[in-house]
Amino acid sequence: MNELTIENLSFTYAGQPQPALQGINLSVSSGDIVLITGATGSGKSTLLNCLAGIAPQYTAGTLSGEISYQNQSILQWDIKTRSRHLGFLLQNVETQIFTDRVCDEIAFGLENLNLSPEEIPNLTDAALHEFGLTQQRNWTIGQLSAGQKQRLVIACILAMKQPILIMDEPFAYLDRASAAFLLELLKTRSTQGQAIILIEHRLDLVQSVATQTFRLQNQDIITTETTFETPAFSQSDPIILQCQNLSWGGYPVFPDLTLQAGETLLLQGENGCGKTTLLKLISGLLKPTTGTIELLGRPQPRRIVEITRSVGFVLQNPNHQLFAESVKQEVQDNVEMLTRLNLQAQAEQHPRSLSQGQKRRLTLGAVLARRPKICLLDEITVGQDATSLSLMLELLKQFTRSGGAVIVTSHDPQVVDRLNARVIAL
Amino acid sequence: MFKFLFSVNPLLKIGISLAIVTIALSLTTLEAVSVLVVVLLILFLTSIRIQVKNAIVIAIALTVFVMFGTWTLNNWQLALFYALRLLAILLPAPVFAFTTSPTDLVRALQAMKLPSFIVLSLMLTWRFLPVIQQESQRILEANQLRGVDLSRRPHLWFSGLFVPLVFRIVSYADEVTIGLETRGYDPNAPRTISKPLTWQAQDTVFTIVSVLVFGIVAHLEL
Repeated sequence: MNELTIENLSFTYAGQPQPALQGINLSVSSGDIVLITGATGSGKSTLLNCLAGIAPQYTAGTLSGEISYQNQSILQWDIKTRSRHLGFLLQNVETQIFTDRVCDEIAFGLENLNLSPEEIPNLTDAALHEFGLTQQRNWTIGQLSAGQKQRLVIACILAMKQPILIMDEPFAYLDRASAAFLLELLKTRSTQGQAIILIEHRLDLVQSVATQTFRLQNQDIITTETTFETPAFSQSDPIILQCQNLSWGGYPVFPDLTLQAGETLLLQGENGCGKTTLLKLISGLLKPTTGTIELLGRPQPRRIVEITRSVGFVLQNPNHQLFAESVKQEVQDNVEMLTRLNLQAQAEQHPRSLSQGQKRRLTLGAVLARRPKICLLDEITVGQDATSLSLMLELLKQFTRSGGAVIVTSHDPQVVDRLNARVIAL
Repeated sequence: MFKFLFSVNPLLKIGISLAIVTIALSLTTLEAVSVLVVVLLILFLTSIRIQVKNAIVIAIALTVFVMFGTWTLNNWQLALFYALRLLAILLPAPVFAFTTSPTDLVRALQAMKLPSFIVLSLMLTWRFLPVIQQESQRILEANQLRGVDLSRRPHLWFSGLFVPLVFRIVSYADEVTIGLETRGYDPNAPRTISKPLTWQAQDTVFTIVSVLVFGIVAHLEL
């Protein structure tokens, strides 16, 4: 039976001449796992917004076509009515967290379903157990890492057991073990009759389980030839960064790092093992409890502003890092940089008007435009499709060839090969 | 950290806080208000982790307040009395706020059968404050990462801090509404209270101790 049917769906944002989505047809039956792919800006999020009812209720625009759930049109339903039947995982999970304690958060969704008070503790415990969050049961939300939060919200959504699940990049912040685990869980859920729609860039992970793949086409898609040449660096290159005996907060002592010019380092480890913390220590945002950091052969300066002359940091969320009035200004009018990032068409636009993936590229450009010696990148692949990721990796490679050093964190195994990175396990 | 206050019924805490404020406003003797402030300070310091730096700043501010009062009123006792009364009025709020989780508060308000829009707006405000603080922190950090130390360059506050913050707040309002609805929250639909508010032993203890303290304060006052 067709649980969800999309017929001839089109959506045009207010004030835009071109529709963001055009003539989408898709039918999902129970037990299906549908994978939706497409380049950044091809309308994946728009599709999810149409399904959830966010567009046109919150994002102005015109929608045409039909979306029906069990042969009943849902276009007139608001988000909360749809949420009773369709479970949504949004891209930014922070906005789906409302309580301050892990166990309360799972109970929150169940309370909204008006389940009986006796059922809720059992369901909560089961969900915590299923997602390996039993230890974190009484933690506050603030204590969780990005990956753990992602896991928590997925647990919250799955606990509500709607017949259809729609997830926007559920694997984004998950380490390999958690990702494999979630994949297994989704497979089980689909055999139990849940229909699952996934928007995901990490095709290597999901393609094997998908029963259907739906590709959204971008109007102005570009293909870049990626060349795989090994950046030449030798033992004699100057040492740019040296960390010894570093520790912070409750984390175990971090492994010692030595980074030479032209080198690329990939930090790997499970969710919550301190990858972001280590980057923050190097950039000076956190002060180490013990240990020393040497930059360019000298001790790390005390003031962050001085550290940033040699260290650039691309944060997980690009929204905090864009300040200028136009895309061009962000990269200090470096038009070549924009071309390399395929943002030349947006040069005069306001940075806030870009899509999430474009913003991410722009923050990298903005950081590299300041010519740091080391570039730190947190979760390089999040929100990036293959094309966009290639552009970023190319730019980074050029940066290392010209004597820069790079430290990235990522859960995506392909980054290792493509950047020819040395892997450090935390 | 002293966990007792965390488990006390939020409605009881609200009631006692209001009582403390009322009593503090009607007190006239230094002894009575001192006892009240000492009790509140004990509660405050045992249930909230406060940084030494902040504590010193607050202590200095209060001393300045008393000194200024002594100078204008020409009576140090009266000045100290006003300072203590101010503390007695201000302290219940943070003690209540830091020892009550938003979920417990929502449950309490639901149990009182308050209109759902009030419960909802309170819940969102509660969640909003730490988010604003966190967002500002991240924006400040991002500025520092770009080599701009905002604390030393106030002329950049507008473009560096306020503009991105306003952008974040406006989009946050929408995002949170959407997030809330996708979690199935409907202000008009019936909702389970999974941990119903019941009167527990610690509530009785808290009430008795409060009444005792009020008794002592009243005795000193009369």
